[in-house]
Amino acid sequence: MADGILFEERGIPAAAVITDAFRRTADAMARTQGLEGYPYVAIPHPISSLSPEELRMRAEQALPEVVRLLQEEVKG
Amino acid sequence: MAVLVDPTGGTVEITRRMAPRGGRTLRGARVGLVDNGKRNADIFLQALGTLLRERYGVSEVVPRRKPHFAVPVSPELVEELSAQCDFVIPGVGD
Repeated sequence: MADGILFEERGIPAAAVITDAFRRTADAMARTQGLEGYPYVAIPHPISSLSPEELRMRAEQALPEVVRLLQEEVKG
Repeated sequence: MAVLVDPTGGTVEITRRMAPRGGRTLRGARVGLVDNGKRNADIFLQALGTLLRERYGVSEVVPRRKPHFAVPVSPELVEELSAQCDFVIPGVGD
């Protein structure tokens, strides 16, 4: 989250990807970093135990949201 | 009545903004992938990078890894990727 926000500040659109166990941490981090409500992509936790094929499926599932966050202007 | 005291001292008010998207598209874009060093982050991000190239016409992905997940991305890496890339995807764990 903090990393994404650093790039946003430099004018580079970012799409931070986290696993959903870290939502609270991510939300708190965004607040601390001065960008409350910063949107991110949350994929099912965990990924550390997955096979390459399962990781590819996770990437496939995350793709539309990643693309949306990179390209679409966020309102509010 | 109990009083809660913030042990971290004064809070600094900072407000940051998101980068304007301004109709930028992924076609022909360069996308930085910032792996936070956790297990499988690299494989997940590579898979995402491949899909972005195949389906959205991304021209190049630039994979980088942070030395440790607990530290923020270094100013040097922010500088490097901001100069080289149009978009960045940081992630991911555990």
